[in-house]
This record gives sequence, structure tokens and C-alpha cells, in this order.
Amino acid sequence: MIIPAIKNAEQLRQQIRTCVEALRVSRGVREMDMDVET
Amino acid sequence: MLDGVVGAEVVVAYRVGLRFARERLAEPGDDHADAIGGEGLGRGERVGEFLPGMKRLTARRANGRRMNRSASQRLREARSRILRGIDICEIGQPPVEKSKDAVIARAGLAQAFDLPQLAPMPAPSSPRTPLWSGSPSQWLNFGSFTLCLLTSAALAFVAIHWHVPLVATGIAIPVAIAFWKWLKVRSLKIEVTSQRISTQVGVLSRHREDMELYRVKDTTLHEPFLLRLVGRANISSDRRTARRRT
Repeated sequence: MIIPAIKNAEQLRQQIRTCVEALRVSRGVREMDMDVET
Repeated sequence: MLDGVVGAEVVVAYRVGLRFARERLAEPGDDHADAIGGEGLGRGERVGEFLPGMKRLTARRANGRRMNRSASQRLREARSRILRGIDICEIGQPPVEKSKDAVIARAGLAQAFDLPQLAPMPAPSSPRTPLWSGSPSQWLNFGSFTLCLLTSAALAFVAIHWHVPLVATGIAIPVAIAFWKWLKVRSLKIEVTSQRISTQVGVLSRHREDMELYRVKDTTLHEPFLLRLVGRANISSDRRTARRRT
């Protein structure tokens, strides 16, 4: 998803990153890499 | 490891062959009776030579294949439970009675991979705090507007210089194109909250799309030269998708 041509983009990007991390912690999201046999 | 379907066929063939062998055992004067035995088969003995597909199938091999089939089936079930457990981990739902297997699988995964047992934290108090909302800048249409302006100027020059007033009516075409471009960007509404990013596009028909922020994987800041001149930039975000490692 692209948010095009906006002012203060870096500030908004940092806000989004902060919210992403907070949401991931609150929801208990974890990332795992699993081998899949083909 | 044998595939599950092939393993099932082997077991079925083994049972059919065993039944056929026992029937032959009941017949008087049968040469294969000594090789069959009474209740079952000895280790390494052949039940073959009764069916075309069972010529080389021994009891040991058939038992091994049957064990392989049950092992592969258990492996598939465990993988299914693991995937359900990961799904539960991702969406962060509290454990319910219906997904007891998924909760057990998640606990097993956490123990196997030495992950901390985190209790799900309560949701934020302000679930939808608006961060930013608005439309993109019309600088996106700078190229289109410039082209339409040049075309209109050329048509006007032709109409005035060669005294052809009918050509001047063609100016309406680039003007209409420029208006449509302006309208498309103007109708693009973006709303960024603390939970999701919502976009609404379309002039006549509308299309609305929401992206949950907890699925965002990477964010990218792109500053094209023209937008950098006017102090603007693009933000792109990638969703989390399943990747297959090769």
C-alpha cells in the first residue's frame, strides 16, 4: 500500500512504525520461519 | 518416505494378499501353505506370488510401509496443529474451547523453540487514534497537467495563427483530461489510524481497502526528485505474507 506525495512523510512513517510495534506486542504476534518439505 | 496414498494402497494390497493366501492355505495340497503359517506371517516371509502386484511384498516390508503411513499421517496432523497454533499466535485471540488443540500446539511450539510464554496484553485504550488523513498532493499530476497545458497552447496557436476557429474547440479535450486527473487524485482519501490504514479510491465507483497495521512488515520512504523539490514523499508498506524457503 502506498501513501503518495504527502508532507512530513518521515514523521508519519515513524508514527506508523511505532504503532506497528505496539500492536504486535499487544497482540502477541511472533514470527517464525518454518521449513516446508516439497 | 512413501506418500500417504501409496502407503494406503500397499496396506490394502497387503490385506487382500493375506486373505488370498489364507484361502489358498485352506485348499488341500497347496504348496504355499508352509510359507504362509497359521495366524500370521513370519518375519521376512513372502506373501507374494498370489497377486501380480504383490510378488515381492514381504511381511516386514508391508509392516514398515504401514508404519510409514501412520507416521506420515501423524506428521500431517501435527503440522496442521502447528499451523493452527501459529494462526492463533498471529491473531492473538484468547484460548477458547474449540481450539484446544491449537492452544496445546502453541504451548508446545513455545516450549520447543524456547520462546517466552507471553500472556496477551489488553488492547490499547484508544483503539482508533487518528494519525493522519487527507488526500495526496496534486503534484502527482504535474506531468499530465504540463502536457495538457502544452497541448492546449499548441491548439490555440494553430487556431489563431492560421485562423481556424474550429481547432480551438479541441482545447476542451486536454482540459477534460486534466480535470479528470485532478478529480482522481482529489477523490483518493487516505486515513491512517493507530490500528489500520484505510484508502478510498474512485470517482464514480468507490473502492475501500483497509490494512491492519500489525500486518505491516516493512515501510519504505521514497522521495522522487520532483516531490523532493516540493518537500513531499511517498510511503509504501509491505504486508506480512507467507514465504516458502527454498
